[in-house]
Parts: sequence; structure tokens; C-alpha cells
Amino acid sequence: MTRGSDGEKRSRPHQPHPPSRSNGPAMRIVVPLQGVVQGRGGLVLGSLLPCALFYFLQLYLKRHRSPKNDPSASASASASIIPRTLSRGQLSPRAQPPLSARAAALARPDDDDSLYYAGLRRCAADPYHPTRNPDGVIQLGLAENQLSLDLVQEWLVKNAKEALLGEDKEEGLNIRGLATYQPFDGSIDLKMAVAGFMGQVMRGSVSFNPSQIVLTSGATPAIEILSFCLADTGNAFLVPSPYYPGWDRDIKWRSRVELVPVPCRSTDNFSFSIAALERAYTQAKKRGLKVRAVLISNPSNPVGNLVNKETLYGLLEFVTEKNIHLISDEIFAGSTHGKTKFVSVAEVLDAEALDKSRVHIIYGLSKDLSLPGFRVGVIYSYNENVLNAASKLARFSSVSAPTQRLLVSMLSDSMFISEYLETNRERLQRMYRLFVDALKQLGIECAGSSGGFYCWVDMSKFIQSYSEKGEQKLWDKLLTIAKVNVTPGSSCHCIEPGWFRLCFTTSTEKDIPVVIQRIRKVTESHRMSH
Amino acid sequence: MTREELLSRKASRNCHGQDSSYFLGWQEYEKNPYHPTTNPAGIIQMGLAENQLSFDLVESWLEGHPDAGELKRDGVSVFRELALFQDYHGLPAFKNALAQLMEEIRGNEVRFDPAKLVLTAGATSANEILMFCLAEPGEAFLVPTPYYPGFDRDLKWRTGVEIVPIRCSSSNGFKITKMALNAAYRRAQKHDLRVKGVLVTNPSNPLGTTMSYDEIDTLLDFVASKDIHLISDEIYSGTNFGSPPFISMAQAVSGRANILARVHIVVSLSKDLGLPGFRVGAIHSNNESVVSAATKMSSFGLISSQTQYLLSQLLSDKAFTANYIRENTKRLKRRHSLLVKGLESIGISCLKSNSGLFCWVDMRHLLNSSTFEGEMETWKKIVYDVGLNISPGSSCHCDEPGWFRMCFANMSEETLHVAMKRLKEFVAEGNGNGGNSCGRSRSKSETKMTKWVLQSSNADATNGKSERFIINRSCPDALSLSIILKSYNTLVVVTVAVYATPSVYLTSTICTISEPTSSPSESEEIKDIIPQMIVATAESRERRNQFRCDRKVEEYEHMRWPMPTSSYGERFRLKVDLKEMQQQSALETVAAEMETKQIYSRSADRKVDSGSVGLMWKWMTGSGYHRIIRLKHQSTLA
Repeated sequence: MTRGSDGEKRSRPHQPHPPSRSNGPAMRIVVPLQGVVQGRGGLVLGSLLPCALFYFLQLYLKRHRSPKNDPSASASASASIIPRTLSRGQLSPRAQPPLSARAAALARPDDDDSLYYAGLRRCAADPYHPTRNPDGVIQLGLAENQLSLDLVQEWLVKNAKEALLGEDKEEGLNIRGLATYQPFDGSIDLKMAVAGFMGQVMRGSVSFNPSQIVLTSGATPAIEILSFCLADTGNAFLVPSPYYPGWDRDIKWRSRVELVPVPCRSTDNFSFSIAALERAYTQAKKRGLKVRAVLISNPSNPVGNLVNKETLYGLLEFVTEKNIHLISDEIFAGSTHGKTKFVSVAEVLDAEALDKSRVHIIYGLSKDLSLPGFRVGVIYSYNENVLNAASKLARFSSVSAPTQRLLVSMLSDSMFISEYLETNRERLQRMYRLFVDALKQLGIECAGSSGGFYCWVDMSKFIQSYSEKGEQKLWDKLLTIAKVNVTPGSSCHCIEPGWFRLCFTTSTEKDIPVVIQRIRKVTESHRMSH
Repeated sequence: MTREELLSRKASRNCHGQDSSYFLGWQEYEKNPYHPTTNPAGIIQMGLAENQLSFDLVESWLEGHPDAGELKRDGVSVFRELALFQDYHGLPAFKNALAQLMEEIRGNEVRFDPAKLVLTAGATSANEILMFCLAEPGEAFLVPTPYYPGFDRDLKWRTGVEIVPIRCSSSNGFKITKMALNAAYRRAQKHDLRVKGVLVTNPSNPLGTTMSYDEIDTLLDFVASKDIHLISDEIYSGTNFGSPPFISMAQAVSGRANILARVHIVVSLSKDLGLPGFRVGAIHSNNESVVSAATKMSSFGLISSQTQYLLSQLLSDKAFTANYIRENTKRLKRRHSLLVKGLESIGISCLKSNSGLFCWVDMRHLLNSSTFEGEMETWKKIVYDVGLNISPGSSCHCDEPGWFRMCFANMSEETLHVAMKRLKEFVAEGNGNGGNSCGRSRSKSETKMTKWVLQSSNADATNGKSERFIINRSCPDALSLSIILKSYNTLVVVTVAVYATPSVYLTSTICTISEPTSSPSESEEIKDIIPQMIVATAESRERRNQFRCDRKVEEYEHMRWPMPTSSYGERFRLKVDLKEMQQQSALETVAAEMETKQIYSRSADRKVDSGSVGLMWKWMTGSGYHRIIRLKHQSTLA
């Protein structure tokens, strides 16, 4: 559609239209008059001669010039009647000049491209509150952790002032370090603090090198920047599905990298296998796609399972054999709640003599420190060229200096951090158990999970037709009847219908019975109709 | 397969402009930064457009309002709200405050609607997002030269959009003209690039000037007629310290409903409030689709909620903002005049400016040769020997060698004095060729020049020697000759200008061509004629005892080829005064003669037909700047 309108606009310059500047006429009127007034050269020289000359000139031009080449000359005769001030008004207000296809696709304020975003909007319009808005929509579709905010707040109340003022109190408030240009890829102080924090999150199993870090304003630009660095337009990443719905926008939109889902099944608890990757790789190649990387999330979003060591080895072998990159999104690394130990790909790399330059890790403080508002994302790469390019690209998404300074002191307080991580894990664990048990009462089973903020639940027995359509219907019922916003599996590119992602960290313990009661409305009505 | 092949072209290819001299100078500075006590011999950073003059104002505000930084409201922590806040629509309180600040800076004559505002992590990101929204890879934006060196990266790198320069020249103070706009547009078309818009910086970086109403009108007319977008980068709006006052595109466009939706304004707090570290930029657009798409794209560069909160507190303090704007412009003005006077005292002049954190400095007379190689040579001397990191004009894509950008607001006054002292020594050492009396001899030649200009503007034809060149006076400090070549499709005007310089020798020759030449035979012709023109120009000066020209044609050997195109005289004057009246009758004579004679007779087959006479007539009368002061067109033409 846009193509058609483009063609129309392109042809416009050829149409003759009144000139915006009508130089000729103005000149002809003013010049003779001046000749008379000044009395110089007399009427003949002053007015007649130029007039005649111009007349013949116009005549000549009119005959010999096609309007295409000089529209102003050919149109000037007819335009001479029109005063100059009006000529601008004559330009009829045109349709707006076209936007890029990228923008046009997303410019509609209510693009219903994905139920994920549709649900978020509905929730934002009518949010639940136990006392103020008890009939509002309960948000289980987001990915934030509100369980441990009090800990961070407590620290801030105690330390924020000092953190902002800087350690050397005698100098007083020094804004120079805040206001002036800072390195776009993050201050070295914060990089060191983040490296330390990441080490603590991995419980000392790996140590991270600050010089391999590029900081960005959130994990969203981090993954986009990596995509820009690793792939050209039209190249592809293999992504085990179900995967985080935001990636479709984050990766495909501007960098125009294709995502090829590698479907995983409930029988394997949605873990991916190397064989499946291999199949997807071959298929993509057949379609003419150039695969540049494998992108995984570990702990997985939305399922919450961890990738075990053996699979990581297999994966590294796979990417080495195919000569492609591996991006491991580990933003939930510190938010584990199961008994299984989380293994970072960095740990495997440390142990084995493998080609590290193809491995890149995405991290952030949004999940593990519950600070999505502070917008801090991390690219941790073993490839110097990628680091170079990424640090230059970070100029488009830098972290603001006051936030950096605040975080440097927060992350350097390792006592606080280790306490926070422990308490947060305990709370996650407790909340997860409560949620899973409560859902069990409704006959809803969850996939095995040991990390993240979600329950990945199987509600396939409540859908009327075993298809994406049936799933959408149930999602709609949950949103309109039960007033609970969840993320449907189809948004996450899950190939089995009937799975949903429920975030359990945005609710309090008191909310759980409310949630269960509301979902029951839908499940009961389904039972009754059968 | 090598490792490089594994990366994307964007990451591996060197298309980000990092190696331009602009960044090179920075690297040099970082190796050896100046410090008054610890490293007094280090390099002084004059390449960084940062405003440190008014830090104390922000500092004292923060000291008085500790709650803002500590995320408290009335002593109670609001952390919970902020920690989770990641809505790309931004914190409403902050957006309102930002919109009001922008209105205040623009004299409260325009309205900035917070709903039309998109917050981004700095203006860098704002510009890139607009590019993503408005153009496909392989489409083009027109940008007037000289422009901010970072644009090559910010606008082009990830988006795949091309920049086509609008060539502006010193002859009219680097103003944007209709002819230059059209020439750029045609050039883009010639390269099969679809033009999607024009991007201007206003106040201009690196010039430090603001656009006049006339200029804005020209630009808006152009944008309307070509059906394209206009991005007005107004991040220096708050640095307008002198007259004429800054006119925001928002003001200019308010009466024009037909282009309201295609004008997009970029603002930022980096320069206006001197807070680049906070990474706060914004887009203001009346185009709903752009706002909507840009808002979604801003998720790739959101501002931390803590910073938004802090700034919302700071900016809603009206007493603070009013005082800041007043005090800041006062300090900038003082600093600016300090630099201008300092340079003046050593015989270096600046482009007259009224805004910005820098001056656009004319060092053409210090160049050994008037080429970009000559400029690099001088620049290297200034960085390595003098120890000043300034940005050469070539890094800003300036078309004329010898211009430099010098920043004055990122250092203390003492440091600026040190910088001036160093530069003075450099000039005195005779690195130009003027020697000690450089300043004096310059002023002498200037007075002479004025006299000459007066003489020639009387249109006296004292010299009987016939010429086939047209002498024009398109720039005040240059004597120049033009020749008109009739080519197959276009009228080509070659102008050779000899500039008045402090030295008595002919030191600087600028050649410009009104149209880019496409055919090689044409280029060859022009190439051949230029040395003759230089000689003729120089001789005409010698005749007037103005210069002793002993370096005539050699000069030409150093000149760049292909020549840059110029934008002389496309501005049409409504007012036609007496002088032009006379000029016209002169023109008519030429026109009549040209019908019968060949204007340029190198190849006999090239006859001027009356069609081209008409064109030429139109061109000459339509050019206010291009005053033909003497025309001799006699038998030698044959």
C-alpha cells in the first residue's frame, strides 16, 4: 500500500504548479516604474525596452522549453496575475510526506500486532488495587519483581545522599562528575561495580572482567546493539521457542534481523536440544537465510527452566561448528528459586579451552536488582571487535550519570548485595511455591521451573478448540471476565496452544486468593459448558 | 572464514567516522590533557562543546534541594514508584517541566505540548530515531555544511540513511540559500537518492549563528515544494547570548498549517542546561505518526526514572530556570567576546555569531596552501605544537579550507587566556607568512580593499583592456572573476576569487563552480581556463596596486579537483534599486551581444543560443549578490 502512494508522490515534481517565487512578474512591474520615477534613461530605455525584451524572452521560453525542465518559466505568464503573497496559499495542503516503513508499521497508536502489548495496555488503563480499584485488571503479564523493593528502598534512604555527594565529603557536592560528558558506554567505576555484582550473582563461580562490559540503558538496547553488531539486514538468529515476546520488536524492528524459532515441546519441559537447533539451522539455510547466531535466555523466559552444563557444551560445539555466535540472555541469573544451580555460559567458557570470541552475554539490573526504572543493561562480550563497535553504539543509549553514581555505591556495598540476593531468592521461592500450589487447586499444572518471575502454566484443557484461536479466546476471557492479564503462549511463539505465562512477583501474598478466585470464574464456566 | 567476516558490516566496516580528525584530536587530548598545575604543557581541549560556565547554579540548587537526588518527596521516599517506572511515555511531571523550559527559552512565544514530546537518551538518540522514522536505508537527508562531525555517525551508521551536503560558503556567511538547496537536491537525484528531508542545526553547530526569518522562509518553502520533512536540531537554543534573537522553527512554522506535520524539532538539556552527562534529549513533533513511532522506538534509549524525577524537581522551580537562563547567557556572552577579542588582537577573525559554545574561526591566512592538506598541516601544528585541540573545518565538511571551530565554554577563563597566549606565539613565529606585524598589515590591506570596492562599485571602466571575464563582487573581501561557460544542459559559472590577506602576496585562491560538472570534457575545459582566470584576477589587482602577485598559477596546482560548488546569488531581491537598474541595461547589452557572439570560444562548435541567454539573464537578474560591476565584451572574444 505504501508503495503505491510512494509512486504517486515521486511523480509530483513533474507536474507543473505555480511557482512559490514569482520573480519575473515582480521585476517587470517594479523596473519600468523606477525608470520613470528616476527619469533616467527615459521611458523607452527604462521600461519599454526591458519589457519588450522580457516579452520576447518569455515567448521564446514558452515555445522552446518543456514545462518539465522549467516549470516556473512556463507558468509565470499565468501566474503573473496572482500576487506573490497568495502563491504560497495556493499550495494546497498535501497529504503528509511518507514515513519510513519501519515507523509507519508502528505509528498506529493501537497496533494490535501482539496480544502481549494489547494486554499491557488494557492493564495500564484500569489497574487493580486492593482498596482503591478492587475491580481493576490484575497485572500478571509484566516482568517485574516487587517482592524485594523494600530492601533497596531501605538502602537508599540510608545511603542515597552520600552516594550522590561522592565519597569525599569535604569537597562538598561536585556536579562536575555528573553533568559533563561521560563515557557513553558507562563509567569505569560502574563497570567494575557491575562486574563485581555479576560475580556475586553467579555466587563466585565466575569472575567478570570490567573491560569486557558495555553498559546500555537497559537490556532492550543491549540486545539491539548486539544484533546490529552481529548480523546484517536479513540475516537470522535461531531462538528456542517459547521466547520473550519483546524480542520480536527489539531485534526485528530496526536491525531487521530475522528470528527463526526453534520449537520446544512440553514433553521435554520446553528445553531445547542440539538436534532441534540443527534441524532449524538446515531449514533456515534452505530458505536462503544466513544464520548468524543462536539466541537463548537462561534462566529461560517464559518457562523458567535452566540450561544444564551438558547442553551448554553441546551448544558451544554447535556454534563453533557452524561458525556462528552465541548470545546468552542471563538477566534472570540472580533470580533463581529452585534447587538446581544456575550455570552461566561464562563458567563453561572458563573451564574449557574454547573459542570465546563468539560468545556474548546480556545482563541487566532490571530483574535481579528490581530496578527496571533505572535502565541499566549490560553487554558482556569476549569479542574485542564487538566490544569496540558496541561501545560506540552505546552513544544512542547511555545511562545517565547521576544514576550511575548512585548505582556505583549501591553495587559496591557487597554486604547489602549479598543480603539482598539471599532474601530475594527466599522470597521468590516462597511466592513461587504459593502460586504453584494455588494453581494446582484449580487443576492447573505448571512447567518445571527454577528461575525467573513466571509460572508457565498449561491451561490447554480449558480451551475449546485446541488451536491458537482457542487460546486467544481463553486469553480474552481471562482478561475480560476474570480481569487478569496474562501472556498467551502464542505471543511467545509456543507451538503448543493453551500455555500461558503468569508473573508471580507483581502480586503480594494477599493477592493470590483474589487471583485464584478470578481465574476460577473462567475455569468453572468452561467445566459447566462441557 | 575470518573473524571479521562473522560480524555485521556495521560493526566491522569503518563507516562510523571515528577516524575523522575531529576524534583524532580528542584522542590526542586524552593522552596529554592540560592542567594548570599538574600538566601546564598539556593539550587544551577546545574541541568539546560543553558548557561548564554555570555549573555552580545547578550545584547550589541541588544542595538546597537534597530530596530531589535522594528520590524523596517531602522527606518521604518515592523510590517504589520510580524503581519500576519504565513507561516510554516518560514521567508526566518531567515532560511538563521540560516543555515549559523549552517554551521559556523561546521567549514563551510558542507552545510545546508535552503530549507531542518524546523523551530520548540525549539528542544523539533523538536524531537517530527521527532518521529511523522518516527514511529508509538508502534514502537521503540534506544537511547544510559545515555540520557537526558526529552526524556522520548519528544519522547514517545504523539507519543506512545518506547525508547529502548543502554547500554553504563564507561569501554570504554560510547562509542557506535557495540555490544551494536546489543544487543539493539535484545532486541527490543525480546519485539516485530519494531525498526525504532537510536537517538543520539552529543555532548552528559549528557556526554559532542563528537562522534569520528570510532563511527560514526559504527553507520552509523548499520543504513544502519538495514535499519532504524538516528536522530542526535546536539543542543550542538556550545559548543564544546576542542579537539577533534566536527564532525557533516552532515559531516560524506556527502560521503555516500545510507544513506543520513535517517539521520536527530536537531539543536537549546537554547544552541548554549544561547537563550532557544526564543524557536527556527530546523530539517535539506535530506529526502524530512520528510521535507514536518515535515513542515506541525510545525504548532503546530511555532516561532513568531517577534522573527524570530529579530533573522534574529542578525544572519546575521557575525561579531557578529564569535565573539560570539569564545568568548563563550573560556568562556566555562575556566568554564569547573574550575569545573574539583575543583572536582579533592576533589578527584572526571569527564569523560573527550570537549563539553556541564555540566560534567559527577564520585562519585561512595561516595556511601554507589553500587546500585541505594545508588545513590539516596547520591543524596538526596547532594540536601538537601549540597544544590546542580545535576542530578543523574539514571534519565539519566545510567546503573551504582554513576554518576551525573553537569551543570556549568548557574551560576556566585562565585556561582560555593560556590558549590565547599560545596561539599568539604561534602566529608571531611566522607560521602564517605575515611575521610580527601581521595584525597591522591586515588592517592596512583591509582599508585598501574598502577603497577599491568603492571604486569599482561606481562601475568605472577605466581600463581599456578587454576581458572575456566578468568581474563580480559576490564576497566583500575578495576580488573575483567569473566566466560563464555554456554547457549542454546547464549554465556553468566558474568563479575565481583572490582573497585579501594580511600578506602582500597572493596567498589564497578560491575557485568555485555554480554547478557540479558531470561531463569530463567540461571539467577539462574549466581546468584549462582557471589558470588564465587566476592570472587575470591577479593582474587586475596589480593594476590597482593592490597586490604584488608573484605566485599566480602555481597556486592552482595545489587546488582541489573537482572544485567545490558554490551558491552565489540565487537570492532574489524584491527591492530593485537604481544600481541594479543600471546593471540591467548592461545585462541587456550583454544578452544582445551574446546572441550574436560566442561567449566562450575555446571550441568553435559551442555557440550560445538565445535560450541560454535567457537563462543567463534570469540568473543574473535573479542574483542580488552577484553584482556585475564591469563588463567588457569586445572583439577578443572571437
